[in-house]
Amino acid sequence: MTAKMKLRSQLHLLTGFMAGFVLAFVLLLYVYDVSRVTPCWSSTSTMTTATTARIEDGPPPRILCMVLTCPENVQSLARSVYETWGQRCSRLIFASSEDYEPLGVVGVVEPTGGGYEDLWNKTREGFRHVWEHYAGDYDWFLKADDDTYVVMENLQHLLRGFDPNTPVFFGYKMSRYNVSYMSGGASYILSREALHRFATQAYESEVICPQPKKMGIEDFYMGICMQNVGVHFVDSTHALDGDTKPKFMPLDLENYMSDANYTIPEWLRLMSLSRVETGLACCSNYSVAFHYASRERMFLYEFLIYHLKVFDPNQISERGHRSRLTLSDLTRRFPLEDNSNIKDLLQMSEKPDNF
Amino acid sequence: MERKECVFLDRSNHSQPNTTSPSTARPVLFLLLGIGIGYLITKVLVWPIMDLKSHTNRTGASTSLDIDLTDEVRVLCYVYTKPINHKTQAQAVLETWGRRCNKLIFFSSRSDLNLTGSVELPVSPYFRESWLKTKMALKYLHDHHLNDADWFLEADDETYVVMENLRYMVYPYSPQLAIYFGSPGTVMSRAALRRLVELSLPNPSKCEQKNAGPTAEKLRECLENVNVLAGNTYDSEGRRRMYLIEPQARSNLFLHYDSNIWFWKFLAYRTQDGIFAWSNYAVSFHYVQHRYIHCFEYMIYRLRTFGRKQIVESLPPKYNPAAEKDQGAPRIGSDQDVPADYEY
Repeated sequence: MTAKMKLRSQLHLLTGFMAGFVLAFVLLLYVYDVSRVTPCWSSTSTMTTATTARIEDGPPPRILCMVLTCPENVQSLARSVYETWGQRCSRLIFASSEDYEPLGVVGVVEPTGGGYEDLWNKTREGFRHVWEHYAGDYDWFLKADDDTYVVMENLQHLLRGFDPNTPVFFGYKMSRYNVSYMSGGASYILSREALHRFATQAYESEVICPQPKKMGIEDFYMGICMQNVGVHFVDSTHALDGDTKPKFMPLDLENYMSDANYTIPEWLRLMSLSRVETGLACCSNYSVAFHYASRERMFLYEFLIYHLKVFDPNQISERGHRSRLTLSDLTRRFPLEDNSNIKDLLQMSEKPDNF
Repeated sequence: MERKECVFLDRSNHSQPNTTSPSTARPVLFLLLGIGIGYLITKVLVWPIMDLKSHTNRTGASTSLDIDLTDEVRVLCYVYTKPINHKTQAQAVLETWGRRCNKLIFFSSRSDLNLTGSVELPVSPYFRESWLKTKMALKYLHDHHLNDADWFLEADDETYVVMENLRYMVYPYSPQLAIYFGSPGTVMSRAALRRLVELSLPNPSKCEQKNAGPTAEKLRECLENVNVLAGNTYDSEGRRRMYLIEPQARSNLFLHYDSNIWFWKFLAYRTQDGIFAWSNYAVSFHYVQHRYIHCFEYMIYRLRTFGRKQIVESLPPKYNPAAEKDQGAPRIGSDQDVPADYEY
């Protein structure tokens, strides 16, 4: 009797011990799993979003970068472009007056030309050259100066929302003599269809597109040509939903960063379509291009944007999915420009200077 | 006979309740006791291990709250300026990286109501920095702000500092350890500042008394003569984190690298290196003009490249004073002037 009673007590004790252990362990696992699962969900969600974005958005846009340079700048500015942002173009071409194979410099104008006075000719011949050799291989065609710095990832993000088979002209939209154009120094982008129309309709027509001449106003002339072949002007300032700040900067970033007004030249204020802001509110967080970048500035931009890490960065989630605008959407949001004044350059009244 | 029968029956009735009562109560008690013991043992032995792992995972997840070092590593920034620069360079510092300091002080020849945190020192208004001004500033900090911060960062109004990376760099070290990083652009611990002001500055044999001449060399000598450690400002790949000269400034004739110019002789690190020899966790940039200070602010904190991969960051382990004590023991013995209350 006594032996039986002792055995029962021991069994009860052992059972209780195991129950206590299990209880504590279950509580422990619950607490541990709660703290462990949340990051996993977050990670899964992030991966799902990325995967979805990748599937729906398709491959990133293929961008050919045509950078205008001249023989004197090949070893300084052009080389800086080649060593920094040019590496992130799908293809990089320099348009100059002399060939230089190591950097991919192509002579598209006469060796006697190539200076600033030949800018319009260089642009025309450069686009013609690009069209003849690469039109079918790329979606977008960027024209920049050799003192421009371009953030290619942000450009791809911008272009992803547009169809390269629609006629699209991208850049910092300005107006001169009541004619719209895109700032050349801030760089501009032609879609494949826009390039095709330029090369096949505008290039050889003196009626709708200015012919080669010295001291031609390159970006203004390109704006005329684009309008007259029915290309839609997309002001990058309004190309991203919810972001209404400029993404192409016709000036050096330093000029925008002062709160004083004297650093913004009058011509930019006059020709810009909207008010030019200064300070940290000047520019989009997804800016694309900065002009008047010296060689030193390019390397500094490269370091600050692609190398510098700030411990404890702001983890801001990005919306990866952007639907592509159809031609009708494009027409509704960015209607064709009114080109009545410049439809026939030969019959123009009130010709501006140097036309 | 009847009595005998009654006695027997009584015994039976009495013993049965006794037997039943203990067997009913004891198993329940034992069960509860077992549960309690099992719970306590598991909690004591297993939970701490799990808690540590959980905390590690939480840190590894790199949530913003976990790795915000602003309050854990308190930095007082003192900036040398001069009256002519108050509205331009000093204002740019105040509007940008100066806001991320735990405390910001401008040392100038006159105080300025429009420049928050400006302190007037009786020095020449034409020089932003001088050895006299440096000594006065250090004494002022020691007398007024010694307990306001763990670290004291020296800068001028042409400097841009990434404060997050500075905190990251000094995080492993205790402010009780007498150590400094970089010179010029020095950041020193509270112990280093205390030792410098109390032991070094008043002592002619340890610290230059004359007021003329370059500051960086003198400050470095004063610190090292009282056994303040010189911390390593290179990262794990041997790239510099401090005193990065803005590339545009290098085109300036004065800043063109020439080993014969006195300026470069007094730099703590005299090697010329390109911009990509800079650390990815860069701390301080120098010779930055005021509008470009705002450019740095925009490009570092506003401008983003779409789709840039997020980096999972973790904090380095704390610096082990015991190991350093072993290495530093001979120095302690060799210097009798250091009071015993200094942890070293």
